Amino acid sequence: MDFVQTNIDGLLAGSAYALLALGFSLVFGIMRQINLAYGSSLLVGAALAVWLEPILGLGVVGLFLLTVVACVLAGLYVERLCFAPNRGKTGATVPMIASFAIWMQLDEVSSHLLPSRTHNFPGLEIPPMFFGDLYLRGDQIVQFVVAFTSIAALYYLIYKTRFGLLLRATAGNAETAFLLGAPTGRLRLMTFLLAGLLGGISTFLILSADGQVTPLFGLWSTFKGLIAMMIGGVGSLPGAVIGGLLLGLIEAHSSTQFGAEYRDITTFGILFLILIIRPGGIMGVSAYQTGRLAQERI
Amino acid sequence: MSVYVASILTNMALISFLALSAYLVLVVGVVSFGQQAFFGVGAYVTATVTSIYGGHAVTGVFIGMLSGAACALVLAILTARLSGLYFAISTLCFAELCRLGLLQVRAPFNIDGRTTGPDGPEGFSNIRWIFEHNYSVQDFLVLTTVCLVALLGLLFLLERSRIMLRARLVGQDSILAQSLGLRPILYRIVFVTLSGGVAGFGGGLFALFNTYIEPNMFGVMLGVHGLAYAVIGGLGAPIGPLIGVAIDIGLLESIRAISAYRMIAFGGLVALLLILLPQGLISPRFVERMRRWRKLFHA
Amino acid sequence: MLSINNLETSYGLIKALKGVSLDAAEGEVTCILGPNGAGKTTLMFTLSGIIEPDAGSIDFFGTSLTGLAAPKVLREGLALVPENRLVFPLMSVRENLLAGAYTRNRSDKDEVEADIEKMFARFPVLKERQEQNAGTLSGGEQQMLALARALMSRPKMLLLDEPSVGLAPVIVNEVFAIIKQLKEDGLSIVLVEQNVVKALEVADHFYLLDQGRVTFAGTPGEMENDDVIKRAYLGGG
Repeated sequence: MDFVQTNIDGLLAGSAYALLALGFSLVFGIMRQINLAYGSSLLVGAALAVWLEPILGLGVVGLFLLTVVACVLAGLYVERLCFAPNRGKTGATVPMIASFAIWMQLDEVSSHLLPSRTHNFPGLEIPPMFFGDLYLRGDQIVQFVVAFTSIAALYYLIYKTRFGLLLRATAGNAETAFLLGAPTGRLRLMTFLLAGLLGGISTFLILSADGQVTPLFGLWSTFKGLIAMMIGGVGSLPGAVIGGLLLGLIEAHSSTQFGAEYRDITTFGILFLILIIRPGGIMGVSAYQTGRLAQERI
Repeated sequence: MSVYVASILTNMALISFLALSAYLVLVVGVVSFGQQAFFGVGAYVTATVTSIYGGHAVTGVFIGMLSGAACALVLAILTARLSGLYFAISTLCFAELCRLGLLQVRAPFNIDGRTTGPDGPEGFSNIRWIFEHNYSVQDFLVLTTVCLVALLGLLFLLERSRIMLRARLVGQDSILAQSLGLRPILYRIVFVTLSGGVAGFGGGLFALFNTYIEPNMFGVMLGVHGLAYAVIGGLGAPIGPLIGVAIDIGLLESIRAISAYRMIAFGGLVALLLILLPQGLISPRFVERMRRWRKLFHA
Repeated sequence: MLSINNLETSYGLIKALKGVSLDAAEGEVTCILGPNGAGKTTLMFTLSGIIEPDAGSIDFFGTSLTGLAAPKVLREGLALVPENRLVFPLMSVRENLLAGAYTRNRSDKDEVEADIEKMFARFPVLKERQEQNAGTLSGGEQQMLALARALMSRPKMLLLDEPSVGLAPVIVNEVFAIIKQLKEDGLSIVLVEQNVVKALEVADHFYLLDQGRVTFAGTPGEMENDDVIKRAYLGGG
């Protein structure tokens, strides 16, 4: 039963990681860019929401909306400053470097908004459920459900709409898509906003389950998202979901087996091994698809 | 010179080693988020040699440098097949593994009634070599500056060599370099190893200066800062990263109104600068133009 | 009618087009020949709005296309079938065709569906493979798909960049048969080709491009002279 419990815990946590990984994968898969400011933009969004909420007094649902909106706006800021002006000129590396400068910037903005080591983030006050010996935290179940609903909505958007067709065409070959009339600039903006939306949802779910927001969330979410994306296969959307869930499972199992101390070492160790042995991740993303990034330079 | 000013200048000099190590990797055309690991390794090794084994600071720092280089060499070889993005993420992984590993290393020693030695998250305290040998802060600043200048001198000489020209070509256009018979991976391995040595050296000095080190000092943000200094300062010449350090720690820190918001200002500055000057202030193109000017004057 | 006047374009640091002037009449197949590096693909990219020209003008049925970006050029009715096909490998054949119709109005959905059926009628092999991922198609099939995709935008004129490259001779014949059919149906075509023999079979007019300049213009009938063919293959002279 312990084994099943660990798996459940892992999958529940992994659903949030999947959303984070999707945020990275959307931007990389469609625009071939790495947004290193993603995690910090989510932290800033959360910080803004927590800072504003008492002033507006909107309760938990209001906080959810605030968080999502703030994360989307933060993503807009990053896109406008780092990715829109540098398009095409010098490849993918310069915008990535600009984005890590903004990572540093947004981290400090957050620490000014939330100066203490930890701030209260209201939870969803849902009682846990018991199935025989299995223990399921109520808010984590909500997290799982919301995450999967979002993923399902994303799936519909990407595979069943005209807009999604355009995104996939741009992911396939941006130049040809441009030839066929795809408005690349607008698409990039929309991709970032979409990533911000998913990230905002994920941020709210994670922080409310945790009950607090700390300044370390920016770095933490960046790591989780990147690692989950790489495990699943960089730029692949199904890979992001699988990678997220797997990461959750790996963490849960290594916590159980080796103790919480070794959880992070296990995670990074596995990622390092994957990079050396099978960099394409689970979905086996081929070098050709990421070929342009292989030839990137400053 | 007051102790306060000397401290700041010493810190600037120490982080310049890290910035220069990021620069050496960028020159070869890859991005590394892991230089802080080599810095940290150098710090821990130097601390061990001087505090536990009673070695001289020079020996300590030297061995620290070699350790940093060795780690870098291992990483470079393991990741030889990886390109651009994958390499960058693997450096991040490697650095975090080093940091997390150090958090687990607990080997405290009791020397002269004081606890020293690596003690996991409690850190490595009582690295007392400079106290025991009566080095003041100002003395140490002189020492560090001399080392930094010597390094700059070596790098300056390296700039003119064929190795550097080829390395820059590999960094510029790896495909073109291959078509000219160069093997980019060799240059990457060499320069990453060199960068590890430079970072390790700086880390060793850092340990001696700070007298206390802990694994969490060598996290990703430290490396990201070093990278930012190299990028904003420019990749054209070794002085570039130092300019980046000077802008952040020198300029922005000294302007009272900004210093509380230093990272906000600096981060924004880097992003804005990259829009106008994607290769930094002292860019390779700028250096080329300077060289042509000098030739004009001498002709 | 497409009228290009003194077009100059740089590709990176190299000046690829150094003042190209040519006309492509309505309802005709205009062929552009020339050796590798002559600037043929740069010309195609400039016309279709992927690269901005440094100087010169492009006039298309009375509208100036000079400096317009690709989406706008496509809306004016000029479609490019790029060299190497460039289908979207992870999307199905049907989705590739839909992508080609992107610039048409949302309200035209039924007409777009009707057009897809027309494409299937013209290219039966695409109908067979309509749900397959385009990356699994053979070279010749991908060429059909790229053609059909461009046709989905109902262009007034088609730019074809080296449709025969990498294809077996039997397939090349099929492709050129289709080109002939399209011309008979009234479509204007600008064809860039290395395969001089096949190109001259369908061309009404041709131009020779060499090192960024037009060096010869004429009709296939005027091509009795072997010299011209030599120039097309080897350049210089």
